[in-house]
Amino acid sequence: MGNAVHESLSSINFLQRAVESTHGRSRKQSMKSDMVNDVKTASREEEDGEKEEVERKIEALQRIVPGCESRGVDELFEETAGYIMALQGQLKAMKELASFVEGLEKEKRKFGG
Amino acid sequence: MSSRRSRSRQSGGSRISDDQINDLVSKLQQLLPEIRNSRCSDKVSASTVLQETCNYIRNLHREVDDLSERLSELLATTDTAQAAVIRSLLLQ
Repeated sequence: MGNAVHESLSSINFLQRAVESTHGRSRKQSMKSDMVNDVKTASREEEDGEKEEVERKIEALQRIVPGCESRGVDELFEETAGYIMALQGQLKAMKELASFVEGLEKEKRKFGG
Repeated sequence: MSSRRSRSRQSGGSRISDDQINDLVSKLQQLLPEIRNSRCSDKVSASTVLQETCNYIRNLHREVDDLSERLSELLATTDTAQAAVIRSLLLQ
């Protein structure tokens, strides 16, 4: 039983799925080196390219935040803010869960479970 | 934030207006803890704010991944009734 449980848990995703389903798309699809490449490419050209650099970074952000590529820039802030909040909430919940489970282990040892 | 009139550099059919960019950037500045707390917000460029936003989200992703692993291990090795309940909840 130990092995089966561990394999299933290796994709501990129910919280991640909650975040992703809210925003409609897997973040893993977008989190590639694209963003890094965009930043490097954008570092060439100085003056006239300045706005283009900013535009490219906006596009990179659109790729990172789920659901943004199909929408306009006006909604980008709302989506980004919502996404960051969701991630922070997810982290908080997971931390609480982790310390709770750690507490279980300690309790068990203490009382000779 | 001073509102600059968009200089009409025709940068090859740009889809995004300067106003949109300024609006987005000033809002994002409020959202990012580092920029909001430490730096003088007037001097931070649009490019920096966007970069910081991307970096921040990437960091959050990494934290989530690390925590996922830790939680997986914890739940796999903790052998109590409560842990069993949590496992069954997460294995939908």
